[in-house]
Amino acid sequence: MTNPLPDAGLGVFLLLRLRQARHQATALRGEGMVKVASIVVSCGCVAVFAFVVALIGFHFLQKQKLPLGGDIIGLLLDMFFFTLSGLLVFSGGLILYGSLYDSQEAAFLLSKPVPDDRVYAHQFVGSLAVSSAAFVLLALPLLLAYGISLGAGWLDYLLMPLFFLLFPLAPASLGGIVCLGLVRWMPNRRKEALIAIIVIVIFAGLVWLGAGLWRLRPGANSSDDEALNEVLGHVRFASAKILPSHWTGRGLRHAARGEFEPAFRYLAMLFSAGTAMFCLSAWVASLWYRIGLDRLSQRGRKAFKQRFVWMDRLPGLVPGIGPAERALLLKDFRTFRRDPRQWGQMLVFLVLLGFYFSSLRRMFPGDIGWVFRNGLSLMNLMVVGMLLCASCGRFIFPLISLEGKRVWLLGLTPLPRWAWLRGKMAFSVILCMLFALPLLLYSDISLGMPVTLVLLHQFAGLCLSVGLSALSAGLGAVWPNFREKDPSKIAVGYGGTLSLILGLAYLLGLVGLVAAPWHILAGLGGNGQFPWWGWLIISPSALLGAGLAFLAITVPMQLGRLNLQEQEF
Amino acid sequence: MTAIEADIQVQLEGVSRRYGEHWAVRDLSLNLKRGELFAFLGPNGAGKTTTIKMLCGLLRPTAGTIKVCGHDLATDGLAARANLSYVPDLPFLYEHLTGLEFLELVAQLHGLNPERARDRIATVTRQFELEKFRDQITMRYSHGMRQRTVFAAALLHEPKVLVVDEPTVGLDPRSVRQLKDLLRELVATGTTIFLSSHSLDVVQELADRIGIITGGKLIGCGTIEELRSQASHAGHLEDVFLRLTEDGEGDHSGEGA
Repeated sequence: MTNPLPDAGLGVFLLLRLRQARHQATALRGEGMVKVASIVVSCGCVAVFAFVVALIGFHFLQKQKLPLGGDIIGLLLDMFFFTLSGLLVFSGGLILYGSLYDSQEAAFLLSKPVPDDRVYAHQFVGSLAVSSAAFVLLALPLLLAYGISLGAGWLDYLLMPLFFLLFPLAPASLGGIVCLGLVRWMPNRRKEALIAIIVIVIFAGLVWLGAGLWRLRPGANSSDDEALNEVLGHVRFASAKILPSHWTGRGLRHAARGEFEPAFRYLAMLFSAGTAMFCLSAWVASLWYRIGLDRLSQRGRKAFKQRFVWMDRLPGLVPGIGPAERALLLKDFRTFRRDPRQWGQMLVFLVLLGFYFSSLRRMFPGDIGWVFRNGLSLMNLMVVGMLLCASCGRFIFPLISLEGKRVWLLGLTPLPRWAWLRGKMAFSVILCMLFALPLLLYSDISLGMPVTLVLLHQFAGLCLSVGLSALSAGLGAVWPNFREKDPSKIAVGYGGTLSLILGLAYLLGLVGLVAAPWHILAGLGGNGQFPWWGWLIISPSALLGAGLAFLAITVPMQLGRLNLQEQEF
Repeated sequence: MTAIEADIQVQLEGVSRRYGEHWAVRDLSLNLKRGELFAFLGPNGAGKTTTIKMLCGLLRPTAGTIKVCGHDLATDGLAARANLSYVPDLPFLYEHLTGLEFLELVAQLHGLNPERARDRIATVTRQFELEKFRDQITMRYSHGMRQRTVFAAALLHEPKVLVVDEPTVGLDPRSVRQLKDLLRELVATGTTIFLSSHSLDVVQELADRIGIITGGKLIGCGTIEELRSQASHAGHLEDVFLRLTEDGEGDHSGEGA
């Protein structure tokens, strides 16, 4: 007689999640109120900042007589949710890949008499929570600000959490299907397929952006209204009626206007589409998951050819480090460049940003207003800074945690632990400077900004590169997570989130001190000129910025050094 | 079905497995009877872990069939896995669950009704002496505590077949002794055990039959006496193993790593 066939329902997995969450909360409380308070305060700061910025933005739009409940704002909301959907497909798929194919938990569950689609569903929920955490933190304040600006009633606040709960379901499921399909059909070409997807996304983005700029080329439009219509027409695809992102935007707009029936209709549509997509992905998992896992392990041991890569030469340019530290640095460069999962998303942003900067001059002819150029230049500095901040938080912060698994090797070398940390910082500084400084230079030259500002921006870029690198590397050693091997999960954990928030605060402070005074004075002057005494404000302020950078470098690095020194593995 | 066929709990027929151009397991055929402890030996990279993974349904054979208690793993995987338990060399535990909660989870995954789950959890808790730490988060467990918890979980649903990969690694002598006693008890109650290990002393002491694999090919299978006879060597299992695997490696030289 054989054992009866079990039927482990989804309730088992729900109970598992609840128990894990309860014990994690208990463990967090056990680590003291400082940690809990810092999580609440830091998340609160980000949310409040996003809320205030959104509120100011909506207030500005109202002053411009732009109806918040109207089509233009609706289109912007559609575009916002469409972009988020794209990011969720990408990040959801990547995180799910780790959870399905590279986790001990998945192997454990697959060896049990549990249907494959239930294992998939369980892992899907975990990856969904990780990939949509940032979305909730940023989108919630934005939509609260929208509701308040519009004077929305209770219905809006009641339905908002439901929309948030259901919105990520469809894109994350699509990401899951793509992930299952890639592993099932291209197990040996996953890296190439991922690179191909990144290239296609970049290409499509460039074509779209290029087409938009072509519509706005000088002389193409006879009036501002016509130009605005061109822009709106160009993003109109985000309002396609079949897109769940459009239903989310529409539903939230109706809810904000107190329109009960259409708000619920869109919510119901979102629920239907989301659950249908999820069921489809679970069904695909029941067909492809185990086969994919099998094919993944089937890949042959191809001979690996070491080729010359320019990036590997960079550690040789770092002054003041010994051969052992240089070897560690080279290892970091090699592991980074061989994992497109790590840099794929950032590359998309970088290329699009570069294209946008390069289009500035063509987009705006010589007679572009000074105030506009001045604002754009400052905004571009902020954008580059935010990209650096996100990249450092995502890639640099987890580096020390990941070394925990290899401590048997590193810990026995004559390298002091402090050198590990210095190496991570050097690695980050090189990469940040490599991308940030040329991008800023390109932006300022495209906008035709004066040399003094170009130099100030380069100085700000340098301070941002070094400061954000030190913050991420140092805090990564202050709050390491040696148990987790997935860098994306380390980055969205407690320390990673706090590090990101501190990075954003540093970015605001530094730009405020180094660049903002120049922009304000030049803006007040009306044509980029300001009196000589302006430098009496700009110079000390820039010096203060340098001081802030010094603090951002020394404090986290020292804290990290002390913690790493005392760390037991 | 004859009485002998009914007695067979694990059946591998012409099982082969390829990784790219490399055959990790080739044409492996085995029948394991009820209450038999079968030890699987082989040098590193011989194909042991691949065989175990196929036996647990984590990998599919490139050719051949595997049946557990008459259920084909390829077509009836759920039923096959319901009769099987697997203790890997690196045991997995949910770090944020207590030992008791982990046992409850495994009981639920195996569909044990609440009453039977309670009884069985109480039994294995006593059997593996988990009382002192079963309410602690498993994150704080030592290797020995983890191993005991994993074994307790593996036996919770009274599997017909137990697959164990390197169970003695990292255990102190007392724990190894307890493990050997446990395996003997299980075999006496009719459980079929598929044991992969490099501890030749343990294998020699416990195994009813021993299979030796190298280069993916089963080069020897039988009792210790039969293997001695095959190797033309009357010494310890270690010598027999070395003699056979040296010959085996010579036979398969040049066929890939």
